Amino acid sequence: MSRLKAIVGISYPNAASLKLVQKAGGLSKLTDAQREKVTIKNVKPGGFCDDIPEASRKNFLRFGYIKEVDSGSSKPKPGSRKR
Amino acid sequence: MAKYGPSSVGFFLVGGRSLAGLTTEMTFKKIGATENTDALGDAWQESTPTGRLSGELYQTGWFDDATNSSVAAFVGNETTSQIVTVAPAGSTAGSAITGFEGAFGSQVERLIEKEGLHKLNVTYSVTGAIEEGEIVEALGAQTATGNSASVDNSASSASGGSGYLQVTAVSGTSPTGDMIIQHSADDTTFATLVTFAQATAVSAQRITVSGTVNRYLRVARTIGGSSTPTVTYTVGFSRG
Repeated sequence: MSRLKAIVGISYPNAASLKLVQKAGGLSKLTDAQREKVTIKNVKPGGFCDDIPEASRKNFLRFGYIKEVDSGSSKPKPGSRKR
Repeated sequence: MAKYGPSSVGFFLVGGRSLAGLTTEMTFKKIGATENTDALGDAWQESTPTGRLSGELYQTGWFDDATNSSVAAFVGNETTSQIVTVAPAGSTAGSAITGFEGAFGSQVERLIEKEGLHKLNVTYSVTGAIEEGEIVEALGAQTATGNSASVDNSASSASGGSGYLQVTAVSGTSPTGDMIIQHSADDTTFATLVTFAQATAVSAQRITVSGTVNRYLRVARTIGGSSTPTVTYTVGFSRG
């Protein structure tokens, strides 16, 4: 199973907020009342961000700001344990 | 296009010290080096650009030894590289700035006259680039963590750029400011572009980045400390 890991610090609205932001035409177009309803998630470099909405995920992957990593890659392989 | 007057100047910052109120005149120029390429048989002198650029900056103003004033900026700092930013046409986000990569106040002159206040005139030797950019977050006092509004540059650019941070004042108990320039292709999702070192005092930083700079820019700030920590700063960015 793969997970999404941030390469640089990223910031994105959650799925419900994304619709509102896109409808307004961007974060800077939101009214103060709309801005209060928007939930933004901030992830530091190295943090996981599996909940990125699909549309935002494509953008971040395209620019290389996040990458897919194998969530099981850090587990020791069978038979590799020290004796 | 428009014309500008002295009141158009948003700020003049040298190493975090705000000097616009002490400056009466300033000149900055970019100079393209040329070499004479006329030779025997030519009737007229001919010059060809070498492609090498240099910059110069001059200012005249008042001698003021108050804290973080003109004396603090220059006297004793003649051989210290300073980060200089000028906002010649307004102080709001999106207004133009000119940034100087490394400016030494190589000639610092105190002028004492029979009639008039003491003057402090400075001739800078600019060691690097003179960069044209814009204000991403206007000069102002910030007391809480948050983001600036985004600035729309209409299009992305591909050649990196330079971020400028000028911190002009801090107050409170152990105040800290962690400022980041973020960029975005859609004004919705943002990623870190420039990370400035934590600011705890009057100071300035210039940080360069390479690669794509997306269309929208904003500043994300984290203010720390206690007893109403306040960091007064401005951030600018010059696309490469």
